[in-house]
Amino acid sequence: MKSQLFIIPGLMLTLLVSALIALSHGAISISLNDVFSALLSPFFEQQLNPIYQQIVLELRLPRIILAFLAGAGLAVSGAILQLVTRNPLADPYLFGISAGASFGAVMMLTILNHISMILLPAAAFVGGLLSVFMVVSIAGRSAYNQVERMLLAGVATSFMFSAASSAMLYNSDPQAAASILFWTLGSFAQAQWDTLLAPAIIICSSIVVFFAFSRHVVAISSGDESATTLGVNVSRVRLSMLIISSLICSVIVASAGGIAFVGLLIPHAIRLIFGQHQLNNYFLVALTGGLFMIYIDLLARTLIENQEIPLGIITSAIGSVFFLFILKQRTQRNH
Amino acid sequence: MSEPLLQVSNLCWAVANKNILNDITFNVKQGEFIGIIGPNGSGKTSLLRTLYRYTKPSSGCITLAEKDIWQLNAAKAAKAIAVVPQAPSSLPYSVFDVVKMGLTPHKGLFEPETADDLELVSQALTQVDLVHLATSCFDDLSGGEQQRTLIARAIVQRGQLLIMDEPTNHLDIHYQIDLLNRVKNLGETVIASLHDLNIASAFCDRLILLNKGHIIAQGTPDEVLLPALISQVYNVKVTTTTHPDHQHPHLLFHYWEQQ
Repeated sequence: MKSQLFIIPGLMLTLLVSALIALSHGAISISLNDVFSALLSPFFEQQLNPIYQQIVLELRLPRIILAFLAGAGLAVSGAILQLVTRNPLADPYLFGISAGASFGAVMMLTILNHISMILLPAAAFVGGLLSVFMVVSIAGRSAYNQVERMLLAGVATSFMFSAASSAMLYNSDPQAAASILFWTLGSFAQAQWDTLLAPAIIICSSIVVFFAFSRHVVAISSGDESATTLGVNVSRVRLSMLIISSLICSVIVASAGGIAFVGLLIPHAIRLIFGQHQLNNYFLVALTGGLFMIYIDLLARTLIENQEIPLGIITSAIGSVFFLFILKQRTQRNH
Repeated sequence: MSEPLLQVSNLCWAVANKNILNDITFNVKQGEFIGIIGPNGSGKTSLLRTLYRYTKPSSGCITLAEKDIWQLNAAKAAKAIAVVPQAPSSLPYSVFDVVKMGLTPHKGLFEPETADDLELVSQALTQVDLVHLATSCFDDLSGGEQQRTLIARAIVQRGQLLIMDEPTNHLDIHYQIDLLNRVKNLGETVIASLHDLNIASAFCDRLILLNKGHIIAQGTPDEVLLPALISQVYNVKVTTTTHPDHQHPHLLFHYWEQQ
């Protein structure tokens, strides 16, 4: 119990150090000294190469903050959905959000033939919400078999939107197809200070709401019937949690593309490292997810010289290996 | 005499045109220990589910302290009715955290736990002798310890009525007796579904015998546990004697055709 008191401060410290490492590494290495000077330059006069200042403050810092927000948001919404559906495979993307968001983006690129930094995220956001709206309206308000209906509706919605996206892409020019592919694999390269506001507000306020409903979510994770006897309106709370998680994911997909596996991976890693009971410690989940994402982004920027690897490739590669590892461990324990 | 605490009148519940519960009417007075008995599929669990608002009855009325429980909101109803459900297959939380779940209906959305709340949880753990297991994982406990944890949760929930669904299921005889003695000593109004008729005879003030969704008989154990009635409902051969300790019927089942 006592050692748990140090988890959060420990993670915050790690976060700080990791952010500094991520700020100094990249296409050009910048010494920690210069990173500090750049960070302090808005407040105090500093002697520093203006290009370094530009790289640290205008390119890397917003990018790292977006990576942190995306990782935190995906991890927390994954944890919430796994708890309220009692399904260890639940992940925001399972409910059609990324397919819906891709559909919105593809529509924008092919039909309007328009690649705009503002319209593309907006279209993706609307597409994501559209798919959630469909899932929620099919899943209905009755608690009985609600989880099954939610999951099946999510899978069906995903396929439907994917089919529509594929049809549109098939009839479009190869360049549009290539840019959609890059977009769906995810990248933080577009991060700028003024694009951080929407994800920051949505993710932070959602985490506050999750904390408010934390008792209800834990009660639901112990079973629908048990939660009902504890005075929880199960179907209403579950749908609200799905809608809020979708909001988080839509805004992340809109600003950084589809980043697979994180919402699934981080909650399982938390279970493994800290224990199941920490899954509703959303602060811990968010910190872990954010930290993970900062390092994924660092890998994406530095693994191959002068080239960026799409995030989705790294997270999927790490995620799939990690899952096979967990599966192997579980089968060994049971036999 | 005051009004009964719980009044169930003309309760019916049908699923897909199949009647599961038919015209169920009974009252429960403050402090009574009521046993619901009946063979498998007789509607015991279905009846309890309508009482703790998990399934809405097709018709009929359930009032607790003269309030229709289906008019209350979920949290208000949960403050009045605490439930010890059948132990879930997996609950990966510590015993302390499971007992703390009993606070759920009493807490607002952002309301933190107070020292008093935690004291309440500790007291409940003391009452069921589980203080030494407070930090253990619920999944690692024995069946009897899991049931005691869920009883502590119900104590923390502080209802006027305690409903238990087959609390003695899967417990060996020592733990069955231990558990029901603990519940009896709480002095609460209890409705429990029970499989073992001799246990029901020993612990319950009144019994309600269900069969195929109907109440066949209700009353004291002496009025309900009649050999003719039990042999007809359960399709067994049975005779009764008087138990020397509690003077209520003790059932003897006959396993072979008598010579």
